[in-house]
Amino acid sequence: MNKNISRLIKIVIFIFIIAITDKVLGFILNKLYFSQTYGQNHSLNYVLSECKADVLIFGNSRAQHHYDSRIISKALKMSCYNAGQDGGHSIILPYAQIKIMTERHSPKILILEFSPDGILHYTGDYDRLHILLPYCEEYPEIRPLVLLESPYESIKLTSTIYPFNSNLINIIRFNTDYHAVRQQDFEGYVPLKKVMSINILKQEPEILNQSVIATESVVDSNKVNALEHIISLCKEKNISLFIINSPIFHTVNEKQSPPLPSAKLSLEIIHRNNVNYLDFSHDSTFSGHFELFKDREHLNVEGAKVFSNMLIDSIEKTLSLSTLRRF
Amino acid sequence: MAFVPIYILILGFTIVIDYFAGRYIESAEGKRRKLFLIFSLIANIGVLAVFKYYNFINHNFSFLMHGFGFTNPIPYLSILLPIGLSFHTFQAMSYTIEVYRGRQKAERHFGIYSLYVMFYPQLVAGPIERPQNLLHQFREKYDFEYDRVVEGLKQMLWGFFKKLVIADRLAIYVNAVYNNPEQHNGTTFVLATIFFAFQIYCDFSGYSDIAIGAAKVMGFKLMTNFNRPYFARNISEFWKRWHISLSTWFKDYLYISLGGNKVSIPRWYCNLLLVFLVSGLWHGANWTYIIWGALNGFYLVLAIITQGLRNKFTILTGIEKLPKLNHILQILITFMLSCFAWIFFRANNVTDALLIIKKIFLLSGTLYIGDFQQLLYCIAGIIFLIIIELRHEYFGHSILPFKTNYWLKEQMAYALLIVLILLIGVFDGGQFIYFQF
Repeated sequence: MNKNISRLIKIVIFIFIIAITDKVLGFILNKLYFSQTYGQNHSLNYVLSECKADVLIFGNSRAQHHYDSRIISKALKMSCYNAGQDGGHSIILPYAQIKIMTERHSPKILILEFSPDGILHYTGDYDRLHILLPYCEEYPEIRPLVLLESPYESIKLTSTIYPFNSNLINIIRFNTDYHAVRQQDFEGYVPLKKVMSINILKQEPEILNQSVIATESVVDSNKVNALEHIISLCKEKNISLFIINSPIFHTVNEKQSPPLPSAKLSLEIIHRNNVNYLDFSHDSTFSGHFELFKDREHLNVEGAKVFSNMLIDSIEKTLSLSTLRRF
Repeated sequence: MAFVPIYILILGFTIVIDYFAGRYIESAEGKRRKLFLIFSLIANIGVLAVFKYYNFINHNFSFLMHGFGFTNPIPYLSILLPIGLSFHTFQAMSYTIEVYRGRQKAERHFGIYSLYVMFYPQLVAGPIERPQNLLHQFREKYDFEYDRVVEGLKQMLWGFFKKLVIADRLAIYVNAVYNNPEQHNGTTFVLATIFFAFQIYCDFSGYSDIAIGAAKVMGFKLMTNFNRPYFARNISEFWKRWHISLSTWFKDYLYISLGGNKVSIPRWYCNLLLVFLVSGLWHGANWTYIIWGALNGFYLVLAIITQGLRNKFTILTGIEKLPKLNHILQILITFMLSCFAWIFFRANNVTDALLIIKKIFLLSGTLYIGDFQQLLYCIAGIIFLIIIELRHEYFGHSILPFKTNYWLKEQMAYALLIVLILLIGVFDGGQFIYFQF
């Protein structure tokens, strides 16, 4: 009997040690996470809780590196912030950001970097949603989106440490000034300085394989819902939504392949809702210009400059047309 | 990975065959015993051949035919490789062989025999048990033993740590490099190969710890599968420490059957090479695995041939008088040799492997860092593992990582493991590497 009681006490002590460590460390990490002064986490945090820019840009790494907020801001004479987040093809992350942000602030213009095949299912697409974990407590409405990553997330979220999983070193780094200069962003826009190597074309078979995967993939209903919700949120809040497919590298003679059958659905949704859709993916300005790209999918700082100016022209034209239509 | 319920019939087929084969082998006499054994072995190897090797053989046959200007008329099979097929097939084969050799009585209870083949902790990735060790355990009655359960849970936790914190973290870097061999340089491949050596060790030994720990919680004792292999001082010792259940399987049932070392020297070398070739083929139907196996066999033969020469070298250089330095050098050389072989194991194909080796020998270019944070986690994980294993290797004998006489200190160490798993574990990593075999 005594032995059993002593064992029970030992178990309780062990659980207590884990619980206390989890709470204390979780509390410290939470404080440190929200006190970051630069880096991706800071950008995300800023957009969700503070940013009141007139023009907001959402999307993946292509959004983050292609849209120079300074150029857009200066030309449109409106404040602008680039809320693009590195990694993934998923539109669900921008949807979560927009959902939280629009409850607090409605920008005048919302730019969404989106490729028509962005509604297709890609393996590992939901993994990126883990960056929303630290916000689940404050914004319970995004919890269902986070659970898309895995049904076990709700169990893991009983830990206060888990939301900061795989983020420890970055949290520490981005709380110090040591890397601040290297990681500098300009209103969320992160310029890429390298120039694409011609050798990058050797990657082509791999990229072709990726498109094979996409061809065989099916439409992800969660992504379709996310796209529709973004459109309806913007309509509801009277935000001018621009869905943009920014340039990808292609050679001069390379022809634009027709959209995948399943990707046509996203174009149909966009057109049905009269959303401004601008496709620069195969714009001839960028054909064969290695010097404007960092790699096949990303413009470098020079490319971003050219593209941002082109985009402004198109937005201004569209906006003046819609203003004319209103009168 | 896909779940195909009908595939349970494959397991059912071999279980039924081997169950009856075992009983007939025991009751039969003379040549009939051998006949039943051969029938059982053909059934088991046949299943492996169809599901694992058919398309590989057919592909190579097509290649040959093409070389002679013909088209291969034999169609490919559109089948999936059942998870852990090689493991439970080998476990089943060890049963019939042991019954044939008279070292194990044939199991009368069909349910118990089925459990022997399908015992869930080790069904998909071993350890590959022997009937003498496992079968009798299914007949024993187990009471709840607090200490045993706690020990089992601790071993499972250590296994999860190795898998989630070290192996899956290393996999991110290794995959990024090995899946794009054209894009990376020799320096990067050196690091990626060292990372892979630790990745596969933590992945597989992590699974073994979870399997052994889970079995221990229920009262079962499974055989040790890993014994800190990277502290081995030669390749022969490495194979006594790495995937012990498979190494001993090949030794007991193939190497000794071929005559082992009790034959002429050239035959002995052939035996060693053959065993490792088959071991490579067991791992996967790909030339990379076959070369990996052959390379390990070659290392062993070379070690035997150069034994005298190496002894002379240590005397001449004076290293013999510095036993600790000699010890460290031997460990490092063995590690480097195994790393070199791992290149073939990990590379997506032989062409990639050769390109990687070429780049490593050129050893030029700056190291690919990727995500700085990832790299730091990788290095920290490896250092942590080495510290724990050093402690076990030279200062203790426990399988568990934090065995001390201070209860609270030990509990805090395990609590720290849980915290580290939550904090830096990779939860969206892949399956265990050895599941594919």
